[in-house]
Amino acid sequence: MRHHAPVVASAIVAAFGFGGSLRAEEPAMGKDLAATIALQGMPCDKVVSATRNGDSDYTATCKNGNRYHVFVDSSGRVVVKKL
Amino acid sequence: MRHMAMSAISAFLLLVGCAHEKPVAPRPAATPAAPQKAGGAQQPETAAAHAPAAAAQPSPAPADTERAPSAAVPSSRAGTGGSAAATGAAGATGSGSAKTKVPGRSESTSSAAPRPAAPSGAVPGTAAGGSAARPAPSPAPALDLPSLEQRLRDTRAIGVFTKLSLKNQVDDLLGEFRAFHRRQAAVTVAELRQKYDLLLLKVLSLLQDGDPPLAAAVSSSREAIWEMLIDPQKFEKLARN
Repeated sequence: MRHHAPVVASAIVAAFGFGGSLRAEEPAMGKDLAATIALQGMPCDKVVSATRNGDSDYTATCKNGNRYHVFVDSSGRVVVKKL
Repeated sequence: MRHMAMSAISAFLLLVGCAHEKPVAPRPAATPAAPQKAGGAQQPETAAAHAPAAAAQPSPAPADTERAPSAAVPSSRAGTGGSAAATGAAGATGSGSAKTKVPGRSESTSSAAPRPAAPSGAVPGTAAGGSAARPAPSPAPALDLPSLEQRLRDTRAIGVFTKLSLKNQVDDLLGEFRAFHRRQAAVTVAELRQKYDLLLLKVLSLLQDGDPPLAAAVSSSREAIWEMLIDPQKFEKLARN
């Protein structure tokens, strides 16, 4: 049973830590997403929450209420789509 | 009793002396602080344009804030350099603030400090008032593009998504330059310059808080990079690499 404890713990961490919105890397990722959105010429003063949909694929919600889908397309371009 | 009275009087006199000295000391420091903030946005432009080499230096001791524009500005200038450079009308105001600053301070500083870092944008303003002859500023440093590129890759001031997005935009602009040189596009040099400036501003605004030295380096390389891009032969060489 003791053997399985770390595995279970890491599974729980994985389930809660990486599944939903950003937690640990929030400030850096939020800034990155905000800068990316701004670079595409779209308004976003600050990202208040971001959800990771997959590799290089996020849904960001800005302080002004705007939501954006930020992802890297197959040709390696960063795409920002307003939702 | 008399002894106590004497000591009380001397302590009082000392206190009064201190109280009189206090307002005198901070006043010069307080007044230049405001102009410097106001001029801070403008000075970078002149500094970035005229003294790029100094921009990369770390800011010296902040003790002499009034005199600091010559040396201490680089760190703050690093960030705002690009944005101020875009406005372009900073020179006049920058020298104006220097003029207002200097009269109060020039005498004391000239005797105390022997001008540690002369090559700055603020000094010409003082030179106009004092000595007229001054050697021309040092020429722009040689552009080390690979090093700059590597520093941009390594910096933590810009996130991964942002870097990728910037790279996309750089590639787009390079494509436009390529088309321009091959005469395949109807874009003018002025339009290219505008796009180049805008892109550089974006980079500078991203770097200015997180990596001021790199922002200064990018800002000081602005013209050198432009010359490389607009010259067909240099551009071809760059594209090959």
